[in-house]
Amino acid sequence: MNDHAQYAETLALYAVGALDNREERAELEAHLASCPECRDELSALRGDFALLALSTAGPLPPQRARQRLLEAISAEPRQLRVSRKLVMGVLHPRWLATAPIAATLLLAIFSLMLWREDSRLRSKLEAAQAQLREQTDQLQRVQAVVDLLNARNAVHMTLVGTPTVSPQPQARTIYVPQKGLLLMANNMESLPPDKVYQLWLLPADGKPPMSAGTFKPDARGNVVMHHPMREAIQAKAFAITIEPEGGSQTPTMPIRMISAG
Amino acid sequence: MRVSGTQAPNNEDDAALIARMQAGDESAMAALYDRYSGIVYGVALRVLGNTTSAEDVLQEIFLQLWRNPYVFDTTRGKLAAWLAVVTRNRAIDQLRRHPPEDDIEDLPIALTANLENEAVQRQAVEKIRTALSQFPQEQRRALEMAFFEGLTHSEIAAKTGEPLGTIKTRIRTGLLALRKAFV
Repeated sequence: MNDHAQYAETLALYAVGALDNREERAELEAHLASCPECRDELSALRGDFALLALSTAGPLPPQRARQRLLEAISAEPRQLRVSRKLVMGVLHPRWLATAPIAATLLLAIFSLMLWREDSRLRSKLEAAQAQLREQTDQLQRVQAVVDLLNARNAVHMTLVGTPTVSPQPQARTIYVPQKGLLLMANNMESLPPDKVYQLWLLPADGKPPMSAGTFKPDARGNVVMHHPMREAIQAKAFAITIEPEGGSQTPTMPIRMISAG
Repeated sequence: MRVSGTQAPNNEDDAALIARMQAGDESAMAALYDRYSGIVYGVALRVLGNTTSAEDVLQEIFLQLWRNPYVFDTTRGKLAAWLAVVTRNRAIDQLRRHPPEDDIEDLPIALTANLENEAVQRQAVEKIRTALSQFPQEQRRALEMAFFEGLTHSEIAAKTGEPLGTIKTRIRTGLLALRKAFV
Protein backbone atom coordinates (compact mmCIF):
# COMPACT_ATOMS: atom_id res chain seq x y z
CA MET A 1 0.00 0.00 0.00
CA ASN A 2 1.26 3.48 -0.83
CA ASP A 3 -0.27 4.91 2.34
CA HIS A 4 2.56 3.62 4.53
CA ALA A 5 4.93 6.55 3.95
CA GLN A 6 2.14 8.99 4.68
CA TYR A 7 1.62 7.41 8.10
CA ALA A 8 5.26 6.70 8.95
CA GLU A 9 5.83 9.60 11.33
CA THR A 10 2.45 9.51 13.02
CA LEU A 11 2.91 5.75 13.45
CA ALA A 12 6.17 6.39 15.33
CA LEU A 13 4.46 8.94 17.59
CA TYR A 14 1.58 6.52 18.14
CA ALA A 15 4.01 3.72 19.06
CA VAL A 16 5.54 5.84 21.82
CA GLY A 17 2.15 7.08 23.04
CA ALA A 18 2.95 10.65 22.04
CA LEU A 19 0.35 11.21 19.29
CA ASP A 20 -2.08 13.64 20.87
CA ASN A 21 -3.74 15.05 17.76
CA ARG A 22 -7.19 13.43 17.81
CA GLU A 23 -7.84 13.67 14.08
CA GLU A 24 -4.47 12.22 13.17
CA ARG A 25 -4.94 9.50 15.71
CA ALA A 26 -8.40 8.56 14.47
CA GLU A 27 -7.20 8.49 10.87
CA LEU A 28 -4.19 6.34 11.78
CA GLU A 29 -6.29 3.91 13.81
CA ALA A 30 -8.71 3.54 10.91
CA HIS A 31 -5.76 2.78 8.64
CA LEU A 32 -4.22 0.34 11.11
CA ALA A 33 -7.46 -1.58 11.34
CA SER A 34 -7.11 -2.53 7.68
CA CYS A 35 -3.32 -2.62 7.25
CA PRO A 36 -1.42 -5.60 8.67
CA GLU A 37 1.90 -4.20 7.43
CA CYS A 38 1.48 -1.03 9.47
CA ARG A 39 0.40 -3.09 12.48
CA ASP A 40 3.63 -5.07 12.15
CA GLU A 41 5.62 -1.86 11.86
CA LEU A 42 3.84 -0.53 14.96
CA SER A 43 4.96 -3.61 16.89
CA ALA A 44 8.51 -3.14 15.62
CA LEU A 45 8.51 0.55 16.61
CA ARG A 46 7.32 -0.37 20.08
CA GLY A 47 10.22 -2.82 20.27
CA ASP A 48 12.63 -0.04 19.24
CA PHE A 49 11.11 2.21 21.89
CA ALA A 50 11.51 -0.53 24.50
CA LEU A 51 15.25 -0.58 23.80
CA LEU A 52 15.48 2.80 25.51
CA ALA A 53 14.71 0.97 28.74
CA LEU A 54 18.13 -0.66 28.55
CA SER A 55 19.81 2.71 28.93
CA THR A 56 18.59 2.72 32.54
CA ALA A 57 20.39 -0.52 33.41
CA GLY A 58 22.58 -0.43 36.48
CA PRO A 59 20.66 -0.01 39.70
CA LEU A 60 19.45 -3.29 41.10
CA PRO A 61 16.41 -3.70 43.32
CA PRO A 62 17.12 -4.51 46.96
CA GLN A 63 17.21 -8.20 47.82
CA ARG A 64 14.17 -7.79 50.05
CA ALA A 65 12.08 -6.98 46.94
CA ARG A 66 12.66 -10.51 45.62
CA GLN A 67 11.67 -12.06 48.92
CA ARG A 68 8.62 -9.81 49.13
CA LEU A 69 7.48 -10.88 45.67
CA LEU A 70 8.02 -14.59 46.31
CA GLU A 71 6.09 -14.38 49.57
CA ALA A 72 3.29 -12.52 47.81
CA ILE A 73 2.95 -15.09 45.03
CA SER A 74 3.09 -17.97 47.50
CA ALA A 75 0.25 -16.38 49.41
CA GLU A 76 -1.87 -15.88 46.31
CA PRO A 77 -3.90 -18.67 44.83
CA ARG A 78 -3.27 -18.73 41.12
CA GLN A 79 -6.27 -17.44 39.22
CA LEU A 80 -6.18 -18.56 35.66
CA ARG A 81 -8.00 -15.93 33.76
CA VAL A 82 -7.79 -14.38 30.37
CA SER A 83 -6.94 -10.73 30.11
CA ARG A 84 -9.95 -8.58 29.45
CA LYS A 85 -7.70 -6.30 27.43
CA LEU A 86 -7.34 -8.42 24.35
CA VAL A 87 -8.30 -5.50 22.13
CA MET A 88 -5.26 -3.43 21.26
CA GLY A 89 -5.05 0.30 21.00
CA VAL A 90 -5.11 -0.02 17.24
CA LEU A 91 -8.61 -1.39 17.35
CA HIS A 92 -10.15 1.16 19.67
CA PRO A 93 -13.46 1.96 17.96
CA ARG A 94 -13.16 5.72 18.22
CA TRP A 95 -14.80 6.19 14.85
CA LEU A 96 -18.04 5.02 16.42
CA ALA A 97 -18.45 8.44 17.96
CA THR A 98 -19.39 9.73 14.54
CA ALA A 99 -21.47 6.74 13.45
CA PRO A 100 -25.21 7.17 12.82
CA ILE A 101 -27.39 7.08 15.92
CA ALA A 102 -29.36 4.12 14.60
CA ALA A 103 -26.22 2.05 14.36
CA THR A 104 -25.27 3.05 17.90
CA LEU A 105 -28.66 1.94 19.19
CA LEU A 106 -28.35 -1.38 17.43
CA LEU A 107 -24.92 -1.75 18.92
CA ALA A 108 -26.30 -0.98 22.38
CA ILE A 109 -28.93 -3.72 22.01
CA PHE A 110 -26.32 -6.12 20.73
CA SER A 111 -24.05 -5.17 23.62
CA LEU A 112 -26.82 -5.90 26.10
CA MET A 113 -27.26 -9.36 24.60
CA LEU A 114 -23.52 -9.89 24.74
CA TRP A 115 -23.41 -8.69 28.31
CA ARG A 116 -26.04 -11.24 29.31
CA GLU A 117 -24.20 -13.97 27.49
CA ASP A 118 -20.97 -12.78 29.06
CA SER A 119 -22.50 -12.98 32.56
CA ARG A 120 -23.67 -16.52 31.92
CA LEU A 121 -20.29 -17.57 30.55
CA ARG A 122 -18.52 -15.79 33.40
CA SER A 123 -20.47 -17.86 35.95
CA LYS A 124 -19.56 -21.06 34.14
CA LEU A 125 -15.95 -19.93 33.91
CA GLU A 126 -15.78 -19.18 37.63
CA ALA A 127 -17.16 -22.63 38.43
CA ALA A 128 -14.62 -24.23 36.11
CA GLN A 129 -11.84 -22.13 37.64
CA ALA A 130 -12.80 -23.21 41.16
CA GLN A 131 -12.72 -26.85 40.05
CA LEU A 132 -9.40 -26.32 38.33
CA ARG A 133 -7.92 -24.66 41.43
CA GLU A 134 -9.04 -27.56 43.57
CA GLN A 135 -7.54 -30.08 41.16
CA THR A 136 -4.35 -28.05 40.91
CA ASP A 137 -4.08 -27.95 44.71
CA GLN A 138 -4.54 -31.72 44.88
CA LEU A 139 -1.99 -32.24 42.15
CA GLN A 140 0.51 -29.98 43.91
CA ARG A 141 0.09 -31.90 47.14
CA VAL A 142 0.66 -35.21 45.35
CA GLN A 143 3.63 -33.73 43.48
CA ALA A 144 5.15 -32.51 46.76
CA VAL A 145 4.97 -36.02 48.20
CA VAL A 146 6.42 -37.56 45.02
CA ASP A 147 9.26 -34.99 45.11
CA LEU A 148 10.05 -35.96 48.69
CA LEU A 149 10.08 -39.64 47.85
CA ASN A 150 12.38 -39.08 44.86
CA ALA A 151 14.68 -36.47 46.36
CA ARG A 152 18.33 -37.53 46.30
CA ASN A 153 19.08 -35.56 49.44
CA ALA A 154 16.16 -36.99 51.41
CA VAL A 155 16.98 -38.03 54.97
CA HIS A 156 15.17 -41.23 56.00
CA MET A 157 14.73 -41.94 59.72
CA THR A 158 12.93 -44.64 61.65
CA LEU A 159 11.31 -43.70 64.94
CA VAL A 160 10.84 -46.23 67.71
CA GLY A 161 8.69 -46.17 70.80
CA THR A 162 10.05 -45.15 74.20
CA PRO A 163 9.25 -46.87 76.43
CA THR A 164 8.47 -50.04 74.52
CA VAL A 165 4.79 -50.87 74.34
CA SER A 166 2.93 -53.62 72.56
CA PRO A 167 2.07 -53.60 69.75
CA GLN A 168 5.22 -51.70 68.93
CA PRO A 169 4.40 -48.42 67.08
CA GLN A 170 6.56 -47.75 64.07
CA ALA A 171 7.15 -44.47 62.30
CA ARG A 172 9.31 -43.42 59.43
CA THR A 173 10.17 -39.91 58.23
CA ILE A 174 11.49 -38.77 54.88
CA TYR A 175 12.80 -35.23 55.14
CA VAL A 176 14.17 -32.82 52.54
CA PRO A 177 15.26 -29.39 53.83
CA GLN A 178 13.32 -26.48 52.29
CA LYS A 179 10.73 -28.86 50.86
CA GLY A 180 9.13 -30.73 53.71
CA LEU A 181 8.70 -34.11 55.22
CA LEU A 182 6.58 -37.17 54.97
CA LEU A 183 5.65 -39.18 58.07
CA MET A 184 4.28 -42.71 57.83
CA ALA A 185 3.41 -44.57 61.02
CA ASN A 186 1.42 -47.56 62.20
CA ASN A 187 0.35 -49.19 65.47
CA MET A 188 -0.04 -45.70 66.93
CA GLU A 189 -2.07 -45.68 70.10
CA SER A 190 -5.37 -43.75 69.86
CA LEU A 191 -5.57 -40.53 71.86
CA PRO A 192 -8.25 -38.69 73.84
CA PRO A 193 -10.15 -36.09 71.73
CA ASP A 194 -8.28 -33.18 73.32
CA LYS A 195 -4.84 -34.59 72.55
CA VAL A 196 -2.73 -34.88 69.40
CA TYR A 197 0.61 -36.32 68.49
CA GLN A 198 3.19 -33.72 67.54
CA LEU A 199 6.25 -34.41 65.45
CA TRP A 200 9.40 -32.44 66.28
CA LEU A 201 12.48 -31.79 64.19
CA LEU A 202 15.62 -31.71 66.32
CA PRO A 203 18.05 -29.43 64.43
CA ALA A 204 21.57 -30.66 63.80
CA ASP A 205 22.97 -27.33 64.99
CA GLY A 206 21.60 -27.90 68.50
CA LYS A 207 18.87 -25.26 68.30
CA PRO A 208 15.56 -25.96 70.08
CA PRO A 209 13.14 -28.51 68.57
CA MET A 210 10.88 -27.21 65.80
CA SER A 211 7.33 -28.37 65.29
CA ALA A 212 6.96 -30.50 62.17
CA GLY A 213 3.19 -30.91 62.36
CA THR A 214 0.50 -32.49 64.50
CA PHE A 215 -1.52 -35.57 63.67
CA LYS A 216 -3.96 -38.16 64.91
CA PRO A 217 -3.86 -41.79 63.82
CA ASP A 218 -6.84 -43.32 62.06
CA ALA A 219 -8.99 -46.04 63.66
CA ARG A 220 -6.38 -48.67 62.79
CA GLY A 221 -3.49 -46.65 64.23
CA ASN A 222 -2.09 -45.62 60.84
CA VAL A 223 -0.77 -42.17 59.93
CA VAL A 224 0.41 -40.58 56.69
CA MET A 225 1.25 -36.89 57.07
CA HIS A 226 2.86 -34.51 54.61
CA HIS A 227 4.21 -31.33 56.18
CA PRO A 228 5.76 -28.61 53.97
CA MET A 229 8.81 -26.91 55.52
CA ARG A 230 10.54 -23.94 53.93
CA GLU A 231 13.39 -23.73 56.40
CA ALA A 232 16.85 -24.86 55.29
CA ILE A 233 17.51 -26.79 58.51
CA GLN A 234 19.43 -30.03 58.76
CA ALA A 235 17.77 -32.56 61.05
CA LYS A 236 19.66 -34.53 63.66
CA ALA A 237 16.61 -36.52 64.70
CA PHE A 238 12.82 -36.55 64.86
CA ALA A 239 10.73 -37.10 67.97
CA ILE A 240 7.04 -37.50 68.74
CA THR A 241 5.25 -36.23 71.84
CA ILE A 242 1.64 -36.03 72.94
CA GLU A 243 0.34 -32.47 73.14
CA PRO A 244 -2.94 -30.64 73.69
CA GLU A 245 -5.19 -30.20 70.65
CA GLY A 246 -3.61 -27.57 68.35
CA GLY A 247 -0.06 -28.51 69.31
CA SER A 248 2.52 -26.83 71.52
CA GLN A 249 5.41 -24.42 71.03
CA THR A 250 7.81 -26.72 72.88
CA PRO A 251 7.65 -30.48 73.37
CA THR A 252 5.88 -31.79 76.48
CA MET A 253 7.79 -34.63 78.07
CA PRO A 254 7.94 -37.56 77.89
CA ILE A 255 9.06 -38.25 74.34
CA ARG A 256 6.88 -41.06 72.97
CA MET A 257 9.01 -41.92 69.95
CA ILE A 258 12.39 -40.82 68.70
CA SER A 259 14.50 -41.66 65.70
CA ALA A 260 17.12 -44.30 66.32
CA GLY A 261 20.78 -43.39 66.20
CA MET B 1 27.35 -3.55 35.54
CA ARG B 2 24.64 -6.02 36.34
CA VAL B 3 21.33 -5.91 34.60
CA SER B 4 19.62 -8.90 36.05
CA GLY B 5 19.14 -9.98 39.64
CA THR B 6 21.55 -11.49 42.06
CA GLN B 7 20.56 -15.15 41.98
CA ALA B 8 22.17 -18.03 40.15
CA PRO B 9 21.58 -17.84 36.38
CA ASN B 10 18.91 -20.05 34.87
CA ASN B 11 19.62 -21.25 31.34
CA GLU B 12 16.06 -22.08 30.38
CA ASP B 13 14.72 -19.86 27.63
CA ASP B 14 11.92 -17.43 28.32
CA ALA B 15 9.28 -19.55 26.60
CA ALA B 16 10.01 -22.53 28.87
CA LEU B 17 10.05 -20.38 32.00
CA ILE B 18 6.82 -18.64 30.99
CA ALA B 19 5.13 -21.99 30.35
CA ARG B 20 6.15 -23.18 33.82
CA MET B 21 5.07 -19.88 35.35
CA GLN B 22 1.70 -20.21 33.62
CA ALA B 23 1.37 -23.66 35.17
CA GLY B 24 1.81 -22.08 38.60
CA ASP B 25 5.48 -22.89 39.18
CA GLU B 26 6.82 -20.32 41.64
CA SER B 27 10.46 -21.17 40.89
CA ALA B 28 9.90 -20.19 37.24
CA MET B 29 8.50 -16.87 38.42
CA ALA B 30 11.60 -16.41 40.58
CA ALA B 31 13.84 -17.14 37.57
CA LEU B 32 11.98 -14.60 35.42
CA TYR B 33 12.32 -12.07 38.22
CA ASP B 34 16.06 -12.74 38.46
CA ARG B 35 16.37 -12.28 34.72
CA TYR B 36 14.36 -9.10 34.28
CA SER B 37 13.98 -7.34 37.63
CA GLY B 38 16.97 -5.14 36.76
CA ILE B 39 15.27 -3.84 33.61
CA VAL B 40 11.92 -3.30 35.33
CA TYR B 41 13.45 -1.61 38.37
CA GLY B 42 15.78 0.52 36.22
CA VAL B 43 12.90 1.86 34.14
CA ALA B 44 10.65 2.49 37.14
CA LEU B 45 13.46 4.24 39.00
CA ARG B 46 14.35 6.42 36.02
CA VAL B 47 10.71 7.49 35.56
CA LEU B 48 9.82 7.96 39.22
CA GLY B 49 13.19 8.94 40.68
CA ASN B 50 12.31 7.29 43.96
CA THR B 51 13.55 3.89 45.09
CA THR B 52 10.47 3.11 47.22
CA SER B 53 8.04 3.90 44.41
CA ALA B 54 10.23 2.00 41.93
CA GLU B 55 10.22 -1.04 44.20
CA ASP B 56 6.43 -0.84 44.44
CA VAL B 57 6.09 -0.75 40.65
CA LEU B 58 8.52 -3.67 40.36
CA GLN B 59 6.41 -5.67 42.78
CA GLU B 60 3.20 -4.72 41.03
CA ILE B 61 4.40 -5.64 37.53
CA PHE B 62 5.61 -9.12 38.49
CA LEU B 63 2.61 -9.76 40.73
CA GLN B 64 0.26 -8.82 37.89
CA LEU B 65 2.16 -11.20 35.60
CA TRP B 66 1.70 -13.95 38.16
CA ARG B 67 -2.00 -13.18 38.58
CA ASN B 68 -2.61 -12.88 34.87
CA PRO B 69 -0.02 -15.25 33.38
CA TYR B 70 -1.44 -15.35 29.88
CA VAL B 71 -1.43 -11.59 29.39
CA PHE B 72 1.94 -11.88 27.69
CA ASP B 73 1.80 -13.95 24.53
CA THR B 74 5.19 -15.51 23.76
CA THR B 75 4.35 -15.68 20.06
CA ARG B 76 3.99 -11.94 19.83
CA GLY B 77 7.27 -10.63 21.13
CA LYS B 78 9.99 -10.72 23.72
CA LEU B 79 9.18 -10.60 27.39
CA ALA B 80 11.97 -8.09 28.06
CA ALA B 81 10.51 -5.54 25.67
CA TRP B 82 6.99 -6.08 26.91
CA LEU B 83 8.05 -5.70 30.54
CA ALA B 84 9.97 -2.53 29.69
CA VAL B 85 6.97 -0.93 28.02
CA VAL B 86 4.31 -1.96 30.57
CA THR B 87 6.64 -0.85 33.39
CA ARG B 88 7.16 2.50 31.71
CA ASN B 89 3.39 2.90 31.22
CA ARG B 90 2.63 1.96 34.83
CA ALA B 91 5.33 4.27 36.19
CA ILE B 92 4.10 7.17 34.02
CA ASP B 93 0.55 6.55 35.31
CA GLN B 94 1.88 6.75 38.84
CA LEU B 95 3.90 9.86 38.05
CA ARG B 96 0.77 11.57 36.79
CA ARG B 97 -1.32 10.11 39.60
CA HIS B 98 -3.59 8.34 37.15
CA PRO B 99 -5.37 5.39 38.71
CA PRO B 100 -3.65 2.31 37.29
CA GLU B 101 -5.56 -0.10 35.10
CA ASP B 102 -6.69 -3.35 36.70
CA ASP B 103 -4.65 -5.42 34.31
CA ILE B 104 -1.33 -4.88 32.68
CA GLU B 105 -1.52 -4.48 28.96
CA ASP B 106 -1.37 -7.01 26.21
CA LEU B 107 0.70 -5.10 23.65
CA PRO B 108 2.21 -6.67 20.55
CA ILE B 109 5.85 -5.62 20.68
CA ALA B 110 8.38 -6.95 18.18
CA LEU B 111 12.00 -6.93 19.25
CA THR B 112 14.77 -8.88 17.57
CA ALA B 113 17.30 -8.42 20.37
CA ASN B 114 17.67 -11.46 22.60
CA LEU B 115 17.93 -10.43 26.25
CA GLU B 116 17.51 -13.81 27.92
CA ASN B 117 20.75 -13.89 29.84
CA GLU B 118 22.97 -11.49 31.69
CA ALA B 119 25.80 -11.52 29.15
CA VAL B 120 23.60 -10.58 26.19
CA GLN B 121 21.78 -8.04 28.31
CA ARG B 122 25.12 -6.40 29.09
CA GLN B 123 26.03 -6.34 25.38
CA ALA B 124 22.63 -4.87 24.53
CA VAL B 125 23.05 -2.17 27.15
CA GLU B 126 26.41 -1.23 25.64
CA LYS B 127 24.91 -1.11 22.14
CA ILE B 128 22.05 1.10 23.19
CA ARG B 129 24.28 3.46 25.17
CA THR B 130 26.71 3.72 22.27
CA ALA B 131 23.86 4.41 19.85
CA LEU B 132 22.34 7.04 22.13
CA SER B 133 25.70 8.72 22.67
CA GLN B 134 25.93 9.23 18.91
CA PHE B 135 22.48 10.84 18.64
CA PRO B 136 22.23 14.60 18.36
CA GLN B 137 21.40 15.88 21.85
CA GLU B 138 17.96 17.18 20.76
CA GLN B 139 16.99 13.84 19.27
CA ARG B 140 18.00 11.89 22.35
CA ARG B 141 16.15 14.38 24.54
CA ALA B 142 12.95 14.06 22.47
CA LEU B 143 12.98 10.27 22.76
CA GLU B 144 13.72 10.35 26.47
CA MET B 145 10.98 12.91 27.11
CA ALA B 146 8.53 10.58 25.38
CA PHE B 147 9.73 7.44 27.15
CA PHE B 148 10.65 8.55 30.65
CA GLU B 149 8.39 11.56 31.08
CA GLY B 150 5.44 10.32 29.05
CA LEU B 151 5.14 13.62 27.16
CA THR B 152 3.16 13.88 23.94
CA HIS B 153 4.69 15.36 20.83
CA SER B 154 2.98 18.71 21.31
CA GLU B 155 4.15 18.82 24.94
CA ILE B 156 7.69 18.05 23.79
CA ALA B 157 7.42 20.74 21.11
CA ALA B 158 6.17 23.26 23.69
CA LYS B 159 8.92 22.37 26.14
CA THR B 160 11.73 22.50 23.59
CA GLY B 161 10.31 25.37 21.52
CA GLU B 162 10.63 23.35 18.34
CA PRO B 163 8.04 22.78 15.59
CA LEU B 164 5.71 19.78 15.86
CA GLY B 165 7.00 18.40 12.57
CA THR B 166 10.58 18.45 13.83
CA ILE B 167 9.65 16.48 16.94
CA LYS B 168 7.76 13.94 14.81
CA THR B 169 10.76 13.43 12.57
CA ARG B 170 13.18 13.20 15.49
CA ILE B 171 11.17 10.50 17.21
CA ARG B 172 10.82 8.38 14.10
CA THR B 173 14.44 8.66 12.98
CA GLY B 174 15.56 8.07 16.57
CA LEU B 175 13.56 4.85 16.84
CA LEU B 176 14.88 3.61 13.50
CA ALA B 177 18.45 4.39 14.57
CA LEU B 178 17.96 2.33 17.73
CA ARG B 179 16.66 -0.53 15.59
CA LYS B 180 19.69 -0.25 13.30
CA ALA B 181 22.03 -0.52 16.29
CA PHE B 182 20.77 -4.08 16.84
CA VAL B 183 20.82 -5.31 13.24
